Amino acid sequence: MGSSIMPDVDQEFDELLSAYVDGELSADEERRVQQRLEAEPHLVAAVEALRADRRARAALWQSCEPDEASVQRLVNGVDHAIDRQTAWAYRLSRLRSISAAAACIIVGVMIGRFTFGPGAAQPINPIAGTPTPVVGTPVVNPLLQSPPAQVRIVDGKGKVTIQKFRSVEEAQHFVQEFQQWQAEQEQIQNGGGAMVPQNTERF
Amino acid sequence: MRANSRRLLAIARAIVGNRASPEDVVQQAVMNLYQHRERYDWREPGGLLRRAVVNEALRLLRQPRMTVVQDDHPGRGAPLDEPAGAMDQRETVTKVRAAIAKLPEHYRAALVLCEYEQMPYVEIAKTLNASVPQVKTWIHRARRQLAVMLKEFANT
Repeated sequence: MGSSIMPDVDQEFDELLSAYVDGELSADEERRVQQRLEAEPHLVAAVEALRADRRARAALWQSCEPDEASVQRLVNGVDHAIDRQTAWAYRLSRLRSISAAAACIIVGVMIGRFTFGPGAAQPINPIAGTPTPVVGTPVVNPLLQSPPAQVRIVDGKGKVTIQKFRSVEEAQHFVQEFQQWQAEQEQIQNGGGAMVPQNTERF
Repeated sequence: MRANSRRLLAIARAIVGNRASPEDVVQQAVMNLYQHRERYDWREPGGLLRRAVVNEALRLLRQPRMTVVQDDHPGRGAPLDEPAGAMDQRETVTKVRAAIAKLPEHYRAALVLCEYEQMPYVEIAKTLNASVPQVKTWIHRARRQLAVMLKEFANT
């Protein structure tokens, strides 16, 4: 095997010679190399050494070529890996659909619970929870920041009306006035009427 | 894939040497492409696959050395009736292989693409994400280093 070590050839020209062997020089560079090769015969030997080295490596590259069994193993391996990946992609997409549906159901249930469900309508005042007509139970919905207080009014027929207030104090004030008015009405009618809550609470 | 597999396996083996199985390198490269297949231009699959294999081989070489794959490639064993010339060639191949294994990985990749794949420097530069002058220098330095190492082998 030859040796392309050229101590007396400058680094840049050495690089040019390497590219020359690969046929990668521009027309100008090739002309320059040809001129020096003609003028300095020892450079011809350097080029020959580079070519000899390259030929020696060709045997190595050839030895890297695989046999048919290796090619078949690779093709089978890739086929198997693609099948596995496709199966997993399908499972994952199914799982995503199911998760999305489950998430939608959970969100729906939560919204229903906080807005229309028992959690939202449940008064904290036990009096308001009784089936008897109740007036003036301030109920604060925890999901709503504004208004922070509301009063649930139940008339004698069981019809519920929600009156919203900006603060609990306003709600309490409304309830007191309402109770007072109710008491006056009861006095006028000589008894009977709705039960009136004695206190208000916030939640 | 099948049409390119022989060449891809050879490239992988030439670059990774005995650091990993070339089949594993090529399979991983193909799967990397397959996972993001919609991102690539498949009009020239040969180049795409070659680039993926080279990148995967280089990625593997940059990892800390973990395993050495047994060199069980067919045709490398020494038959009893092997002629002297063939034995010399096998010895030379073994020496060159050992020397190439000591080269920096990008020198090695550039040399493989240049000498085995016969690729022009411009294509090698694209494959290795480098400039043409860089590739020129890498190939030149690879050859110089190999020459020095093989001269040392010859002297020992």
